[in-house]
Order: sequence, then C-alpha cells, then structure tokens
Amino acid sequence: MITSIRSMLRLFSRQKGHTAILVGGLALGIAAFILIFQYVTDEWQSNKFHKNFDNLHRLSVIDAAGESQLYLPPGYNASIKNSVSGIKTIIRTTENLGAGTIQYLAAGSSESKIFKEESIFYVDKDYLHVFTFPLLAGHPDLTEPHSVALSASIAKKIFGTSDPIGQTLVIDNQFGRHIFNVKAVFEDPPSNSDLQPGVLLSFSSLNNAADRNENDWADPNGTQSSFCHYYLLMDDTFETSNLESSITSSIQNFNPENSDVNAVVQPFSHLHLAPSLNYPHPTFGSLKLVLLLVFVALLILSIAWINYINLSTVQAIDKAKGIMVRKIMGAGRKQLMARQITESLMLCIISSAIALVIVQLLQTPFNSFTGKSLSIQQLFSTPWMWTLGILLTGASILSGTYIGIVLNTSRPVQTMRGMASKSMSGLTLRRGMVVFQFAISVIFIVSTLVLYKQLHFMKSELRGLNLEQLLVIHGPTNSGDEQAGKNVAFKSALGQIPFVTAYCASNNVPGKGYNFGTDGIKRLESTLKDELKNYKVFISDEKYFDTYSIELSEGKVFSQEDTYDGWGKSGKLMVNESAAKQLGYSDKTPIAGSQILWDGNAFEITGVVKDYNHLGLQEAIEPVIFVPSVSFYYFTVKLNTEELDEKIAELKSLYAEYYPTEPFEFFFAEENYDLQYKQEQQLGTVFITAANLAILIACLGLFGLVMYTTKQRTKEIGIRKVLGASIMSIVKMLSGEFIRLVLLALFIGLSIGAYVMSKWLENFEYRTKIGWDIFIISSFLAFGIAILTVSGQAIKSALANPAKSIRND
Amino acid sequence: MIKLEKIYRWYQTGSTRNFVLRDINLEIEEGSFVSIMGPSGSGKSTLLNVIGMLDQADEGSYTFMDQDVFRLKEKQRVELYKKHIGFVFQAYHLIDELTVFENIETPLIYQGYKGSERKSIVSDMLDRFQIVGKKDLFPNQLSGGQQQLVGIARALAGSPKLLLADEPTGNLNSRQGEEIMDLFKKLNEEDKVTIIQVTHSEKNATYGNRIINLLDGRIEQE
Repeated sequence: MITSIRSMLRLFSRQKGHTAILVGGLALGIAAFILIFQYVTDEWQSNKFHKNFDNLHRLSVIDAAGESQLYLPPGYNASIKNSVSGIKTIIRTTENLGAGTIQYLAAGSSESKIFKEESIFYVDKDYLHVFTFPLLAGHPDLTEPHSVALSASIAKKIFGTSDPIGQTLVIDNQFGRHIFNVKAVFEDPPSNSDLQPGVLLSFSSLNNAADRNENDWADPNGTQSSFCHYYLLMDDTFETSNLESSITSSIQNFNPENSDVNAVVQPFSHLHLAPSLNYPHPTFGSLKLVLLLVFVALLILSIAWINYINLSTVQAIDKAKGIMVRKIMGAGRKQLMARQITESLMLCIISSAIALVIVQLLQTPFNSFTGKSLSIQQLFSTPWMWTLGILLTGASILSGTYIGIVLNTSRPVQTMRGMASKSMSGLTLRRGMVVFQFAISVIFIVSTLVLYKQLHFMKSELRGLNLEQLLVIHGPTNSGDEQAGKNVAFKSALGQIPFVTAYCASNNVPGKGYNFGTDGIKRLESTLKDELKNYKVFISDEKYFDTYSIELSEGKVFSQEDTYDGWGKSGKLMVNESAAKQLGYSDKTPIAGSQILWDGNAFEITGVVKDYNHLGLQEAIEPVIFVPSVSFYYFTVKLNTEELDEKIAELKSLYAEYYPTEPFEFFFAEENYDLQYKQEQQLGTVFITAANLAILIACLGLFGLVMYTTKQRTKEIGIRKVLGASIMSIVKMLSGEFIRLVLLALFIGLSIGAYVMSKWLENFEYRTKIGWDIFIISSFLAFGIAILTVSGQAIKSALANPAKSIRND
Repeated sequence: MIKLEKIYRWYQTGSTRNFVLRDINLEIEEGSFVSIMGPSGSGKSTLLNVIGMLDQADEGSYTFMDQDVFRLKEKQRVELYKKHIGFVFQAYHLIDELTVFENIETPLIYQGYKGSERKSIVSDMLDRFQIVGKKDLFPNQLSGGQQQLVGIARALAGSPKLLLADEPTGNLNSRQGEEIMDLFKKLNEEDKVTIIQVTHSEKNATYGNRIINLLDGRIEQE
C-alpha cells in the first residue's frame, strides 16, 4: 500500500503539468461547489438556533381580497390568547416602527453621542424569553414602560466598554422624545436569523396616549391599524390541525368586518424557505433561488469531474504500458482497480485540500457579497458536512472505477505493441462529455447575457419619472405638530439655496415604497363592492410631481394649502391611471373634479397622475392614491452634481440649523432606486463567475481531448507530413472534429439557455427580449474560446518533426 | 513441459482470414534452451505470446505442465503463468516510476509473498546480477544493458520454470548482448531454467540447444 502510494506520488511528479491541470480543474470545481454549498446549507439552517424552533409559528391572515397580510392589529392579542388553546405565549413585534435617533449623554460629560437607527422594535415583554438571543447582561423582561434592550454591537457603539445596564438613553422617533432605561444586552443575531433585532423597546411604552405623540393608531390595544407581526409559542402538545381554524374564528368573532379573513399559521421551519415551490405564503428566503444555486453548484461539480475523468483517461495512455507490465507480472483485475481507485481518491484528497485553501482565500469577499458570515468551521459543524464528504468520495470512487475499467479492458499484447490508443474504449463517451461541458458553458453564457440585458433594460427603461441629480435628505422621523412646523420651515429654506433647482418633501420616495395600503375606497355613484379593492397610499407635498418629473394626464396637482391642511381637512387627493381604472372610470369621462368615498368620507380628485414605475420593474404599476400632507420624512433637492462636496456641506449646515440634535443623512435617488435590483445584480455576479469557471473547466476538458487525439495520431501526422501535407491542412484536419462537437454543444446550449431564460424573464412585469444579439454573442464567445484551445494544440503537433514521431514506435 | 497441437491463429479482415500461425505442433522438454527464428512477420512473437498465455490461439490445444491451458479459466491461467513463467522483453518494459528494487519486487507482490520474504529474494537477485549499487535508481538512470539485467532479474524473482524472452538483445549493443546471452546460458545450465527466446541473430540462436525456424506462420525446419 505504502509502496503503491509512493509510486503514485512519483507518477504525479513526473507528469507535473498534466497533474496540475487535473488537480487545478478539480480543485476549482470543488471550491466553487463548497462556497455555494455553504450558502445553501446556511439558508437551510436559518432560524434553527432558536431553542423553541419546533414550537414557534408566525401568524398572518389572508384578507377578503385574497391577499396575504403579515401585519395585524395589536388588539387581537388577548382574544386569541383566551379563545385558542395550546398557545403558551404570543409575541407581537413592530419591526422598525421605532426608527429614529438614539442619544446618550454620559454622566459628567457634556458631550453626547447621537445617531440614527432603523432597527428599533416595540415588542412584547417576553421577546427575549421566546427567541434565543442569549443575554450578555441584565434581565430579559421588558415589562415596564420605557425599558430598552440592546444588541451587543449597538451597546458597544453607545457605551464602549462601560456597563450599559441601568443607564438611560433618549430615543426620538415618530412617538416623540422619551427617556428609556437599559435593562438588557443580548448577543447580536446571527446572519441566518430572519429576526434582526437591534434595539428592543417595551411595547407598554406606547400604553399612555401622552407617549404616542398624537399617533393614536399605535395604541397597543387598538384594533383598527394593522402594524404588528404576531409570533406564537405553542405548547408541546398543541394540535396543528385545529390551530388555524380556531384563530380564524377568534378573529372573525372579534370584529364582524373580518368575516372573510382567514388565519394562516406558518411554523418556523417554513418561515425562511418554503417547503415546496408552490407554497402560497410569504417567506424570508427564496426556495427558487436556493434550488437554482444547488443546480448551478451540481453542474459545476459535474463538469469538473467529467473533466477529471477525461484528462485521466488521456493520461492513461501514458500509464497503459506500466499497467500492462503489471498485468503480465500477474496483477489481477481487482488489484489494478484498487490501485486506480486509490489514485483517484488521492487526487481527490489533494484537490479538496487545495479547494479548502481557495475557499479560505475567497471567504471574506464571498461573505461580503452574500451578506452572510459563512466559514468552513461552521459548515463542518453541521451534518451537511457528511453529505459533502460522501459526494466527493463517491465521485472519486466512481471516476476511479471508470478509468480502471477503460484501462483493464484493453488487451495486454496489443498495448505492449504500442496500440494502446486503439484498444482504449470510450472515445464516444469522452466526446459526449465535452459536448455536455460546452453545452453547460453556453447555457451559463446565455443566462449571464440575458440577466445583464434585463438589468440594463430595467435601469434604462424606467418610465414616467426622472431620478437624475436628485439628492434625498433623510429627515427626522418625529411627526408631531411642532415637528411639522420645523419641517415646513426647513423645506422653504432649501428652496432659497441658489444651486437647488427643484425641491420637494414627501413621506417616502420612489424605490423605497409607499406609505400604507388601504381599502374602503369607491366612487360616489358606485354600487359595486368596490371597497374591497386595495390601493397604495403615498404622502407628499404638491412639489413632489415637478421635482421627480412625473406628469399628469388630467387635471392639476393639489395646492400648497391642501398640503398644509392635510388630506383629511382639505378633502383633496390624486390618483394614478391604474387607480382610476380600478375605480371604474372609463377613458371618456373626466375624472378631475369628481368625488370618491374613502371610509365614508368624500374626497375630490384634483388630477390624474400618469402611471410611473414607483417601484422596480419587476412589479406591475399598482393603483396609487396620492394624498397631501406635511408629515415629511424625506426632502428631495435637484442639483447639479458639480462641486458636490461643497454643496453637501452647505446642505448639512442648513440641516444642523433646523435640527441641531439630528444627524445629517442623505442618499441619491437613483442609487437608492437601483438597490431594488440587488438580487438581480447578485445573481448576475453568480452567473458570470459560474460561466467563467464552466468555460475554464470545459476548455481544460477540450484541451485534454485534443491532446488525446493528437497523441493518438502522432504517427499519422508524421506520415502525412512526410508525404507533403501542409501545416495548415493538418491543423484543419485536427480541428475539424472538435469544431463539429462545439457546434453541437452550441446548438444544445443555446436552445436550453434560451428556454430557461425566457421562463426567468416571466418573473418581470417589464422585460427585455432574448434577441439575436444574445445568440450571436454567445456563439462567438464559446466558439472563439474553443478554437483558441483546439488550434494551439493542433498547431503544436502539426509543427512536430515527422522523423521523430514516425521513429517513436 | 510444453505441448502445442495444431495451433492456428488468424486475424479476420472482412471475409478473409490472415493466418499468423498455421498448424503448429511443438513439444518442448523441461530444461531445454530453444531459439525461435524467422523473418519479420513470420509469427515468432505471436507464438511466444501463445506459449506465455498472453494470447490465445483460435484453434488447437496447448498443454503446459499437464494442464490444458485453453480450457482453464482466466483466473486459473493467470495463477499458472504467474507461478511458472517469467518474461523478458526487447524494450525491457520496466515501470518508470518504480526503482530498480521495486521493479524486481513487483511480481512478488502479485504472487502474494510477505514483505520480509520479498526483501530477501530481491536482495538475492541484486547480488546475483551485481546491481546492488543500483537498487535505488530509476530505469531512466540506467544504460540499456543494465535495464535488461533488471528486466531479467525481475523475470526470475519468482523462480519460474520457464523464461520467455522476446528479442532480449534487440535494443543492446553487441557486447551487452553477449553478456545477456552468457547469462541465459548459465541460467539454463546451472539453474535448470527452461528458456525460449525469439531472436533474429544466428549467433544468439547458437547459445541454445534447439532452433525452430518459422516462415509464414509454419514451422519450416528444426
């Protein structure tokens, strides 16, 4: 055994170049596979760290319109708890509801730390009991009003190394400015947690109307506004079957308006990835994406392995003599097979070791790309490691066996006479493998090109608004009357700045979302059940439409007075074309000036907004109601981006004048809008990498096959040259066969690629076409690379000295 | 020891048969030193391969040490030749990635000798052929004559009764060739090893005690 391993190592080192290509190709494939495998297992392991994982559920409802609603009114809490058996604890969370600024004034210091924080949640008192975010200090109960628990990183940001427990913080958000007592510090949530708490405030802090800053919709016992996620911790003995129906009846009994509402209970195991592709309820992760990645990973691994087999059988011609001598010395089939499998395993171990090094090197950029904190250690601590090990070992045994069979079936005498090549079977299979590899490469190329074409399309075909040169300032989140006055003042001060060519203020911005969804809207004269239809509502001032270059198809924008009065008082609003259509207006009737009913109150439509892509082009344009109000969170200014730094400094100092305690934060509307294409961007990067890798490995495979056949035909080439064949004609002869193979692969790859990508494009409401350009570029790329690979080798053997190759018998 | 009766060997090309061996009848006694001669393509090597069980005849029967070779199963045949037959080749056919020592050791591994036994046998061989100093060298570090010495040592390591040599001196110069032939003669006379060699050279053929001439696959004369 040791002798044979030693002799194998000698063999490897004697064929350095060959072994390097072999091992390198395999290592690259395995590394890519491990990286994707890490990502996929992490997705599957999501949320499993919760000790109560098996008993945790998320409650949501399907509303009368058949749409899934994850937000419920906080007031359902008690009635569900009382009427449904098996529930241990209900946790209501309000994610990012408390977004605002956190201020800390260290005792005995005049300096205060202040920063904006998005992830401020109001939660029920047992949050830290139910979910597993281990405590680092303090007590987990968030019972008393104005209690706060901080994640380790936020605590560190505020307090540094000093003890946070018992300290006080000032949190300023839409519910006003309040002092909170720090009760607990918990470990940062792991990256594979769907709940990402940063700052937890006790829900009871909103009990008192005086603490809500006129936002009475946020009453923790209210039943009108839906803004809470519900998580249920069940008893060990609960029955799943009755759970949904008993919660449904509890909700329906609570309020007769809920007669068409049905409860949905999702176990935590279905929360991140759906259990099947047609799972109707929302999940945090995407099963489709994960399956796609698994598929990509397996494809890459399989072409890497095919490559390995291909190159090994080429190498086998060299080894054939040694093997035949062994056969004549009396080595049995089993011994030769065992030797081949050992060799294969050894190469696999070497390649895996190199792959692990590659993975280590790529881990940091890969993690920042995926936004996860993945590591090999983490992978090895899960049972998935065995799957990986079995897969790699199985593949190397299989390939070793195949190579062994190829070698063993050849007859000793013929091999000894130098007829090794003829007696080697499996050339057809090898050709098939090369076609397979190239077809996959072509599929990757087509996918990448289509993906980027669609991305480009989405970025360039944005309809109905102009985001260029728009800078958005993220204002304070406080929405009280006093704040509103300041906001108006700041807005008009922005208008005084000479370099600001247009400006507006709004409660949200394109690319981020709307303000809320609503139903209960119908035309004055409508008798239908129109009030069940859903609309999005967007809050802005009257300057919003001009600043974002959004056009009207009819009527006019509401007035400045309407903005000051708000929609409730002014009774004015605007609709977009989709909303007008949904309301039942025909093209001929004038809409501007007509009235609609919203929860029984009459509103006048001042104008109709042309449909524009408020959100990314993945989605169809929704029916939107535009309402006037001074409740501003975002200030948009249009400016020329020359000398940007100075302009930003000026904006910053103006901001500080009006909001001395608020940090200045801004972003560009266009960049922010493009964040919606992050998933497509990432997918693009994955595919570009996969395509490069596939092509590289496929070229190695092709290179191997060319090497094999030219080696086989060395003597023939020599004779042809002696007989007067030109170098060109020999290169043509040698390349011709491979060109045919590549053409076949191209045909297969293009058809499959085009089919798959046309399916993918169906995910987009607005999509590009898979045109001839895609086919031409893919063909050109794949073909060009293949020709380069083939002709190099062909030229080399065509140039070889014929005297040598003929004599070398 | 060896008895060939009505041996035919042919290759089918389309509908015609090209005969390589025709009606070979041959008996070889234990302890003899036979040289097979004949022009290129006369079937010398094929005959040697049939005797060595590397190739099978299409017709006829072959008895080796009282066993009907063509009726044996593959496994039994391998056992038989592994135990009793050693091969020496014109092109030496040493395994390139093994040292001299390991090359000689290889057949012993396949014959199931234990490690310590192998070591003593190989050391004996190295001694006998005076190549102890070369034992850690690789084949490409040796001259042709030395490589053939190793090839012979390897063939003899399992102490076979029959040594088959296919033009053993074909790739050697005349001085090296003479040394090898002297060695063969000594092996035949002192160690009683039966030797069958294929050769082109009249001179080498005289080392043996019997010459078989082949022409077009037939035994011409003895």
